[in-house]
Amino acid sequence: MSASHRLLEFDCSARRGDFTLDAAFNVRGAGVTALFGPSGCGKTTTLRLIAGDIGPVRGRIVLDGRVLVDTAARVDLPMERRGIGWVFQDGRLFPHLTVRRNLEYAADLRPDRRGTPPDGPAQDRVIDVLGLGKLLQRWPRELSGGERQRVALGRALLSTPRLLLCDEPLAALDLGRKREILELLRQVRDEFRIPIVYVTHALGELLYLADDAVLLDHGRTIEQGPLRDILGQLAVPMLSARADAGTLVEGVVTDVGPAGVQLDWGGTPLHVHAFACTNGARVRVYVQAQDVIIAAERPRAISVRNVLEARVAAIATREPDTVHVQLELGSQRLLAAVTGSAATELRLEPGRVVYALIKSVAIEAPAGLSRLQGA
Amino acid sequence: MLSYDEWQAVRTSLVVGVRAVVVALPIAFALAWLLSQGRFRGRALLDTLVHAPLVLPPVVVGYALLLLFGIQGVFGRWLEAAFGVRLVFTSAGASLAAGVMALPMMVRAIRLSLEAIDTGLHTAARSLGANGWQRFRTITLPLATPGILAAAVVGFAMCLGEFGAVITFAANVPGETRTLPLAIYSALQTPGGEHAALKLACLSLVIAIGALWLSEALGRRARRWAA
Repeated sequence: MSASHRLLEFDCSARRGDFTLDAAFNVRGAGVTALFGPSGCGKTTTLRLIAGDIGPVRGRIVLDGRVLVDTAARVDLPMERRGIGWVFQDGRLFPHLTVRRNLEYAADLRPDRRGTPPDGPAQDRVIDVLGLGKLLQRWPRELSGGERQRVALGRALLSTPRLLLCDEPLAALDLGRKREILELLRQVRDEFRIPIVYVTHALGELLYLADDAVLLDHGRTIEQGPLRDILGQLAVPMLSARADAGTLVEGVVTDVGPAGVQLDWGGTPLHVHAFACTNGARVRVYVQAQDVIIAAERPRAISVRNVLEARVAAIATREPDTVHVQLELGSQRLLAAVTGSAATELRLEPGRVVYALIKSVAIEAPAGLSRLQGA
Repeated sequence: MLSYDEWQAVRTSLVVGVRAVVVALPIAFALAWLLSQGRFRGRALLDTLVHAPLVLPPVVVGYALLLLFGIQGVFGRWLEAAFGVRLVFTSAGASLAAGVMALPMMVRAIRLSLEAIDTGLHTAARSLGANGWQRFRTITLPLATPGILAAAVVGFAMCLGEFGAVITFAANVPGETRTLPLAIYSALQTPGGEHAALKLACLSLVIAIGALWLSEALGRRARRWAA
């Protein structure tokens, strides 16, 4: 595996009170890697280990070929020399500095002062993208929650990090601000190409933002990989056994009309209700397993816009009386949830050809945004 | 309006107070910083020593200083031999006595402002590349500044008012150690001195209220920063 496929190697054991973390994963490179799991699963502990805020009992962390921690070799780089940006849940702006001085904090520490180092994002560009121009003279106490997080994000970006850590940066925000910051994070990812490790327990944020995901539970790594691959896997119950489990569809917009949007999902056409997008754009939509109907025969004269021929790949029984069916449509996979009696009646079993019915109005587009909840 | 002796008392008070604060402030900061650093060996002992003047009768503190810094005292003898400095019955001695009495309150004011600093800000500064000294310079010091200023004002006010420790250690020498409270005491001991005493008392009141008002204003500013 080439170095570009392993920006960050993490393999650590750590103890925090009664809690033990014993996790190992890699971060591929550019893009957003989400650390996902329920509260108390070790997400924040993992983040603090990467940042250098706490040390592991045993382990090794390598960033971009540089050893940050190696307990065997007695290496433990102090936090200030790791080159890792950190966006906190609560912003943590310096209250005695204006927004501008907050943004320039990292630059002011450098002996040569001012100026952006050649390898980092330009200050003007960061201010522009994050819309900070009008805030520069303000004090942190005069900012709203969303503005604070924008400044915190800009401040971290301007420290020229090799990696950006985001610790539930939306947790303290209301719904409108959540959407705004999520959209900005996506722009930051695309424009500045700084890899982001993003901690969240919210499925909406995961669906909207994450390219890859690392699932944690009780301090262990359960699964890691591209989000769309691990989302609908029956073998990964943390995601597929949820009531809101589903399939992440990454498609290309082929037609935008007042009546809806046509997507090409790896050869399968998918009709989605109208949402803001442009022709040719790559978009993500989410199909909840509950919203997929399985028919044994192709129905005719039906209002459902999407009738897709599929093959049953696997079946898993979930409590209570729910059966999750993994369908295959060519190279794509689709997760469906039906009741146990329906599964019996339709004689669902691996290999059987069925029809998956998806109402276009039931598809969540864009994925994740509508399931965010205000703080 | 004021006699020469009365002006001299005001001047002595200001000199004694300013000198005491200037010397005590860095010491108070160092102690406050140490005490805000959590657990270490000897912390409880240090805490007790620093706060002792707050609970001891001032005369006892003055007497203790006399034992330590007097002509026969351990430090007193050393100071005299090494630098030719004598503290007893001098203005510098009055500053020492007043400063020791003011120290606990000064430490307290600074320590409160240090402890009010969100430790998360230090983590944030570290993640932005700031080393220990840089964090101290850019986070700790500016955020503790209102507390330091408040400590200076409170300390100064306490030095102006100190009586027992000063008179015990430095005596009541006009123009040298006779500060406002000592001058008031002396005036009251003199037949017909009530008028002078009242004038001096009013002066004390004005200076004290001014200092208190200033420290309130600085304290408000500190709280706004901490919020």
